Amino acid sequence: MSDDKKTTPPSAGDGGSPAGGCVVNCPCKPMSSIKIISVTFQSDHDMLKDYDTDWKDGGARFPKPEWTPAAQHPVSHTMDKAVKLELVLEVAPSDACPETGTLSGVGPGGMLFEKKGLSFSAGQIKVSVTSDKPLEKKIQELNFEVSWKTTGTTVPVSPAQTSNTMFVTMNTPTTPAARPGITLKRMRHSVKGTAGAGGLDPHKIVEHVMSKWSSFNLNQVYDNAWELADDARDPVSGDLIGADCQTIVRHTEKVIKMVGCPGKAEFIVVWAKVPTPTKGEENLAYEPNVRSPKQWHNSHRPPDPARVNWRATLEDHGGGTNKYEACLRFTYPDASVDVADKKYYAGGVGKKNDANEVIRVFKAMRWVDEGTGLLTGVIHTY
Amino acid sequence: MQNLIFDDPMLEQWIRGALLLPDEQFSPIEPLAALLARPLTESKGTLSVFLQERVDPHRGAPGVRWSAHAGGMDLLRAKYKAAGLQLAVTESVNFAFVWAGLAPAEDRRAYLEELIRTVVKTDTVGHHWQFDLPSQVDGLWEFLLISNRGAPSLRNLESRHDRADLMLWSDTAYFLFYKKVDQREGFQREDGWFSAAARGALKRN
Repeated sequence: MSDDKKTTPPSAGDGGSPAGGCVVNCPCKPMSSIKIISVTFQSDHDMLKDYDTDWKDGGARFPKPEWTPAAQHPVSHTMDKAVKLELVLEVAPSDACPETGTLSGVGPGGMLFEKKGLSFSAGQIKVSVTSDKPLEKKIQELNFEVSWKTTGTTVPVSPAQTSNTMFVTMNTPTTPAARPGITLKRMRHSVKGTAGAGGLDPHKIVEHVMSKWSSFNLNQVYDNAWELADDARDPVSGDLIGADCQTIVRHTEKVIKMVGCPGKAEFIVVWAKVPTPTKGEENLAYEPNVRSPKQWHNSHRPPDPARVNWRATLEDHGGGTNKYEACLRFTYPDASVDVADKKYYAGGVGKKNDANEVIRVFKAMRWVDEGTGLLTGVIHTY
Repeated sequence: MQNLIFDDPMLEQWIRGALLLPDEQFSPIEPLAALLARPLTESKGTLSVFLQERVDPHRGAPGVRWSAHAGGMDLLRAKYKAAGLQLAVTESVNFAFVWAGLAPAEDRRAYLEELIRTVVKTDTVGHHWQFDLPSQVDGLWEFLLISNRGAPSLRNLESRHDRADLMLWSDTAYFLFYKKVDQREGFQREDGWFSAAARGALKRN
């Protein structure tokens, strides 16, 4: 704070003047306070909705300004970008003498906001400041706290700190068209779920998200795949109850889109043809598959009238018969055709590099009698 | 439109073995809540695909009484009132049947159209179901099975999204949903939904 500024003393009253005397060319008074009235984020996504009750879409976008003494709202912001803020300050009293000084703030990671040569005049003033360095390149839920001070003014700014929750993402959040809504609950979950990957490689992020489930639960589906985030557990075993592959794929796709993670997540099926049982065929769900079109015994082996109803199926280790193995195929970069840029996640077997690895989740390719439903001969054992 | 009197042996087995099983054969789930948590959670997810939220026993409906049965089939049953209807859901690992109460004597077509709107999630990411109600719905209901437009036979069902049925039987309306797992050939073992511990506890009750 500088030395006291000289002020012109009030002139003598003339008897007909208001209390205090001066009505024209009144001298200004010493500044008594500089208050932060509000802070508005100008570089955030401005998409976050205040819905936090359940996994549905709802609520309204958090209003601006995001910080006032009465309320502090969360924001989402892309990483590795500078943060731009607009502050509204109120200088009192209403006839305070103007002062010139510097407003500065120190934020996370030591980022600096500064406005030099600022005229602190009576009433409200708007100040736009931009951080001198970008946000850290890290997906995180950040306590965006800024410590403010003034230099060259007779009074300090107050409060000395402002704070908002900031969800830092890789890029602008998006949602699948069929399930819109960038809500607080979804954003919080997605940032938490992807931050644990410890890096920004989309493949590593997807691998981390998928690693939560050790298997697919074919009995469990959700119309709203966000509900998988409730992490329902079997209280007896403690295991996650999980969901089927399609639900997990849809859920994973939503989570990575919410944090702006690039890459393409697809729900595909992996199966095999009778002549080449070790070659994993892959295509978008659901057809073709091992049963569609049907692969008849007598089309692939010397015809036998007793086997006219035999066709190929895929047997799992539980004795069940399957048309395919459902799978998440993740490609990054999105448009790449390089096999090295595709990874596959089948139920409970971790990351696979290609469909040939996926098909080996099965016990065998076998003939099934379509009339009785009974498994008969073995075509190939994996 | 099919007009069958249990022409499908699998459907007949399910109707007779589950839908028509009396309440006395079921036990309240409260003492077995932990043992039945998994099938109840699976029920919550699956019914969200078929039922409108306000009639969903896991979501919009209050005062739901849950019970369970383990015998030839592992079954859950929910009885409750919602959206002005008295409802009962009987569910196995392969199906969910909804009893929607006795129909009024008059305006049965309008009643059914409103019932479908109230109960069934006809439009989701996975399906778009349309029901063509034949002229027989305007009279007395002996037995009528109305599948959604374009539905395959149960034998050829590929997915839970392929087919839903409206069954009209003795002036009562039922909705039949099929929890066909896309990946699997055929349906699953009816006595494999509950854990061995849950089955044992239910059989002792």
